[in-house]
Amino acid sequence: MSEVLVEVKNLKKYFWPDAGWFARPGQPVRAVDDVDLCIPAGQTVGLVGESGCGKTTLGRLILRLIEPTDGKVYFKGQDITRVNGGKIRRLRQQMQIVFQDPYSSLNPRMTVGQILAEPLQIHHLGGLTAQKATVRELLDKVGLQPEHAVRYPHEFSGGQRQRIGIARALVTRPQFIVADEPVSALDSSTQAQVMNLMKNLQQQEGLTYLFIAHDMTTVRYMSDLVAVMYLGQIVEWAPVSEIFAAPLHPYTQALLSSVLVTDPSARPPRACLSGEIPSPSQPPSGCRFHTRCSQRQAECADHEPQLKSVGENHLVRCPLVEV
Amino acid sequence: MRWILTRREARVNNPLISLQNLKTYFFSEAGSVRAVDGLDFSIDKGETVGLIGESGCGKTTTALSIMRLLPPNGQILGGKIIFDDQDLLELDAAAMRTIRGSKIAMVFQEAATALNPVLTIGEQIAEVITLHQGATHREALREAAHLLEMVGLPDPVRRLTEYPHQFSGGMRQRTMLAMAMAGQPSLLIADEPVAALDGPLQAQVLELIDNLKRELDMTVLLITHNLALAAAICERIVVMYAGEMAETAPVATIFTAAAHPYTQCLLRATPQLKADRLEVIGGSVPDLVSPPPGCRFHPRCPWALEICSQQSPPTVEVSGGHLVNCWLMKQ
Ligand SMILES: Nc1ncnc2c1ncn2[C@@H]1O[C@H](COP(=O)(O)OP(=O)(O)OP(=O)(O)O)[C@@H](O)[C@H]1O
Ligand SMILES: [Mg+2]
Repeated sequence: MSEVLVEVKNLKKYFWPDAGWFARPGQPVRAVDDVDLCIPAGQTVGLVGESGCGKTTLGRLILRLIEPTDGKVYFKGQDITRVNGGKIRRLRQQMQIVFQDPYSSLNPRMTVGQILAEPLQIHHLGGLTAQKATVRELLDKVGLQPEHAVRYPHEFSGGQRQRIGIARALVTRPQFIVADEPVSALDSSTQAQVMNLMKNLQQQEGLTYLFIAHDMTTVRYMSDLVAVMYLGQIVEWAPVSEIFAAPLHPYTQALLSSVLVTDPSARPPRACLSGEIPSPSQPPSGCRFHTRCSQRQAECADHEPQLKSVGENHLVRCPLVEV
Repeated sequence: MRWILTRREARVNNPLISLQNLKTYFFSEAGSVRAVDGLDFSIDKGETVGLIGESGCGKTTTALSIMRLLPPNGQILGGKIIFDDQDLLELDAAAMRTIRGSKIAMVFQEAATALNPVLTIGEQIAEVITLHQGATHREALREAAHLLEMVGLPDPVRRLTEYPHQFSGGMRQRTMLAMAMAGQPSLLIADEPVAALDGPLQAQVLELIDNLKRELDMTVLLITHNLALAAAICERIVVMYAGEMAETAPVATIFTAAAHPYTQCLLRATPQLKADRLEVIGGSVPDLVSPPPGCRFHPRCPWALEICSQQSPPTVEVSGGHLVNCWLMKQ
């Protein structure tokens, strides 16, 4: 077992009504509600769930782009929930983010060279010549040309822009990257290019990823370990092979059966997961998934289930799963 | 193996719509963008056809050409679009409006953001109904509730009074489908109808399109870059590359016996639950201002021959209803 790079303990983030338009008055949106997570160094943890389940909030909490309501985040064993000032700046060099939308996450008025050099200037890394060399090296690393440094984002395709986003995340030589739906906006063949690029960079640089996605096929391809999230909570955690071969939580099973496969014999599509995700400001009582669960029993609405260990490194939050 | 000599001989059973040598260009500062360049395919009555290809290959342009709703700098330069035995390209604006209202409906890419944020859902659907059917406001609202029910929105009467921001992405997409159904179209064009939705919702909305098609006896053109989505509800696939058709075949054939190198590359690059390796298609979609000569795919094709860079590929029918535009088929 490799060492743990990032550890999250009892992490909570509540948004009160004035902070978000979607909540009913008085009820906080419990976007992240008591999450524990362990991310081993050099590996990829896939974080999967429907939109609105709290994935992005969790990713940003870990990077301290937003402040938690409660709980702790440890980076290399150090509690980073309280660090401030210069210390947080040094931390930010080591932890970076790649955003979902390659169109809006790059400043349209800056050239690619300026976009990539900006973090170096902020962190005072190297002189002008050294910075230029770093930019050239990075462009090469992500499969772009040095000439691209003088162009603007709108001159690039979606896949190329996502490469620029990845290059920007790599500028400060981080150890940990939160990739928030990095390929969701791309077409399949571009997705493949970007995912292969991320994997190669991981091997070369020893990177650790938190890979956020709503699409099970990309999670399967990228991850070593998978955390399935539903309404602010982790409902299942296991090595990738186990999640896909023997999913235990009914929600994980439903997510998997709603995957559209390129196998015509599997038609027509079965929308096994009926309805939409309930509002996180008023999660259902008991097991939060019981309102949509195909296997629910009467008692599921009564007690909130805890995460139970059901095997080596396999946790499930479901009252129906026997240990 | 039978050779197709002229493109018009391509298999046509009972087509509802057929595109013949369609050419649509955009005129921009960089030059003319040959977005659709000699496209031929047809859709039989009652069929669901998937139009697939990478971003920028001309899928939306094809759909907008059928609707005759191109932006000002876009122009149809040639070809025919035969729908119900008439050439849509010869109709005047008024006749085309009638077609759009009652015969062909389109759900636009990023439609969910196209709803007006300051009008209620009911007002927006009623507006479309009044436009198409000349109904009174009251009748239109009643019809709107009926349409929302049809697309599976619970409590439709209350939903009519709500605003788009109160709807989730999935609900907004259902609303767009409801609006498209208002004129009881015989052809529905859905441009990336589920790209913005997550997995479970994608499956739900696709199932909805499939059900609507059966109930209302429609023909569907589903536009997507995702082969797995197309596989879910389509009977036949048309693969497009850089403004041209690469291959068309029944869906099962595409997945078991794809013949065009581009289709094969696309399949290998599609993430699947079982695949451990993803291959990538080297290079990128060519600039359509000056597309490569010969077969437009030849610079990225692993099996390109000399002739591929010199002459446009022939259309070859490798089996019934399976057409491939590729020089390799001649070898
Ligand atoms: N208004 C326009 N002016 C100039 N070029 C355009 C215009 N609209 C589209 N194009 C170009 O036409 C080509 C085809 O674009 P189109 O939108 O049809 O692609 P698409 O297959 O629908 O792609 P996507 O999957 O990204 O939606 C592209 O090269 C695009 O850049
Ligand atoms: Mg399009």
